[in-house]
Amino acid sequence: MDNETELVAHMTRISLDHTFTVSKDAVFRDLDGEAVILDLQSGTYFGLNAVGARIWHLMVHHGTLRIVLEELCREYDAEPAVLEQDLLTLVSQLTEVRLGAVQ
Amino acid sequence: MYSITDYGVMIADRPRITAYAEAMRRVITPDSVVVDLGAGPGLFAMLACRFGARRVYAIEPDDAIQVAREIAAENGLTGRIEFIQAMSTDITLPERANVIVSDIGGVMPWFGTHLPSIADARQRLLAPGGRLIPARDTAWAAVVHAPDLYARQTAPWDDNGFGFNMQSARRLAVNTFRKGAVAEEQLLTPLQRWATVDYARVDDWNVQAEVGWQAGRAGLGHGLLVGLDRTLVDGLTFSNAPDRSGTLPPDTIYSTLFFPWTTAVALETGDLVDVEIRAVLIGSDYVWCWQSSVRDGRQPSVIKARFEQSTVMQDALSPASLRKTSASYVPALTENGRMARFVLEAMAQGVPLGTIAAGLTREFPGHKLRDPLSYVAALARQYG
Repeated sequence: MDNETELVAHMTRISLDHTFTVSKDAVFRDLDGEAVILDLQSGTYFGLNAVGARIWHLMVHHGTLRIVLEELCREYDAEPAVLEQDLLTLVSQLTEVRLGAVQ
Repeated sequence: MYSITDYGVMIADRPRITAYAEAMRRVITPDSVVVDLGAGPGLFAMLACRFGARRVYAIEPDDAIQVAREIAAENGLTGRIEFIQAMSTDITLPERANVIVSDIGGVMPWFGTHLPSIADARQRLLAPGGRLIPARDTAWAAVVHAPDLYARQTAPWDDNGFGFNMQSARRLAVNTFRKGAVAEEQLLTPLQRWATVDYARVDDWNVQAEVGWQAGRAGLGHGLLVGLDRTLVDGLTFSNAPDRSGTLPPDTIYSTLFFPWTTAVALETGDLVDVEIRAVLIGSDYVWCWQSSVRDGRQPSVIKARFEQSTVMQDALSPASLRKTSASYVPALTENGRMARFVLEAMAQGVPLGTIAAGLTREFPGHKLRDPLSYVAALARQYG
């Protein structure tokens, strides 16, 4: 499978009923709305745009993805389906690089 | 790299130097082959000669080794010391050493590539049964009342004298640790040992430890003070542990390190403090993280403060710079990058520096280099 196919396959296993838990190896730094997360295990940085940084904050605060989506829908003028896709894609990417886990 | 003044400060640190000299005197015999790892101006190498070593290898990547050569010559030791300008990890020796002496660890053993270098030397350069100096480091920590150390980092941003809000800079400052000392009575908790590095065995460059204290006295806590006991050989130790930091000379190399908290916390006697300290080697530098929580001693479920701090947060970075640290960032060569590539490619083809400099001026007529030859020579020193 290529990376994109793997990501899609991974995404199908993640739902709004999941809770996101931040890895103990993730060090988050935000700056002017954007952010990077350093993975202490691999020494690599993961970049987040402004929406991604906001999602990260919401996940740290709420954990449950359904509540995170509800908050995003209140904050952003976008279709809920689009926001849900953005949320699940980001969670997929973060779990793929082991910056967090879903339960 | 260190300047000659820096080396002078190290040599002037008599408690440290005399302890190292005594450790060498105890283990070096007339049959000894000694490696001085990170030799600098070569004092340990010359001491090894004085204590009778048969052969001494002084290994130092910096040009300071030239000074070491000259000093050795001035002291009639040229024939007994082999000077090798290289990283120890890049060389092999014609014989294994009985003693490897080094002092390349900074204030804490988790410093640069110190631990990988020692482990490599132990595996490849040390004879079976050989001795490493130092033998062991034990790291200690305590919670401290340290208004002066804390103000040194935060006061410029808390009160700039003009009424501006400069908290953005303060957030960076409190994620930075610095050398600093306090008097013993400023310790609000007992000392806790949080890590030990046994140089004969160490094979993990990172450290992660959880430390817990119960405040022994009330006071405003400003952060953690960290220091170590260094055992050079069994029975010979010097200390910069937090309870001794106030007694150390002000210019000592091995001071204690002050890790500030995000805000000061009023501690009552019996309050509980838990800290997770972590240092992770990434590239050739460590990232330090310290997560602290303070709980009410009478009601432990009541959290008085919680901080998550890291040196990841200590540097001023723009969003553009941040993006450049991301694994997904695709860099493009700037004009300076293209010039460096031109020089490196010419070096790979064996072109003399002067010819490369002339070619650089031809290929990049708009360059702003004042002296192209110096620019090329600097790259050659670094990569040649």
